[in-house]
Amino acid sequence: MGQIVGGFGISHSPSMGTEFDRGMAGGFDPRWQLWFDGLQPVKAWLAKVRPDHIVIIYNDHLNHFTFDAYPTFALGVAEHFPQADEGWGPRKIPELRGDPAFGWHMCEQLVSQEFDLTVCQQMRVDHGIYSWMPYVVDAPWSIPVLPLAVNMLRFPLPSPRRLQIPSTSSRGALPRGTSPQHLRRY
Amino acid sequence: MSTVDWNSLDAPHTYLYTGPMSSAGERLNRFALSLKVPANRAAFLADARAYVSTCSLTPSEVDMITRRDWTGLMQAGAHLQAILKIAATVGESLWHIGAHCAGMSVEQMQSACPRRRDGLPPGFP
Repeated sequence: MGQIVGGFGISHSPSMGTEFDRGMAGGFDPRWQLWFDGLQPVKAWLAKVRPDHIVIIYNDHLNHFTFDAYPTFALGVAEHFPQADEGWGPRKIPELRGDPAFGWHMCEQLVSQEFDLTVCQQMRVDHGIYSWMPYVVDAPWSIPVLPLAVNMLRFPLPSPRRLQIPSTSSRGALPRGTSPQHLRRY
Repeated sequence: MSTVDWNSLDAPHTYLYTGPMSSAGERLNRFALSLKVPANRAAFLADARAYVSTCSLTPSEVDMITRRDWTGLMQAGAHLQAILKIAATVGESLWHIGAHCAGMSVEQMQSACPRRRDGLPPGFP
């Protein structure tokens, strides 16, 4: 049976990724050292609880989606989530991994509870996830992620209350799941 | 340095990006997002005017792009995250866009953002 082992909120920025890459070469800028140090408890906690999946609610910055078709909610269901080129070229870090079986399971649970969403079987992910991920989990990333992209770019935005449904659903989804035995922890 | 009301949530300090702005900026955003492709960035850098001439833009929009008038582009309906692709292509960043909107230099903008941090609560986590 699945279990939610915890959650965390974290900020993101393109410069965070740039700084991480620079930091790996030779020491952090003192301005960023505080940020790096502050995340160590999160990193240690993740290493301790060893989640089987990480469900990530984030936003894309017109790096995968465009306004030609822009979803309010989009779930990424794929084996891999390649890094988006945001204009500066991709960073030299590994790809995020996904677990389609888990993704489809969550999709079924969410839609059955009337949380209708767009499902993306190809989704490039930008600094909304890639910028902070290396600070809290060492690459290469073995933990599969399930990204849920939320419109934060163009009004009208979904209300925070709307997001209570997927969080409630992910709790409900686990015991009811017909499926994967590997769903021990989230 | 211009006078900036850091608490104001109204234009020109803050823009809420709405559906009508998205319609107004449709062609600008499509142009800007085309720069996510490396070959398009190279073509734009080689000959900006030739590249934008294929993007169904108005002369005024082209002018703002070539002058890096980030604030003007925003007012014309380009989304910040789309403008950022243009800025990235020409070697600029969010700092340049923010400084332009606030009517100051990048250095002035950076000095106005000291990025203070108070620290985590005792005993966290």
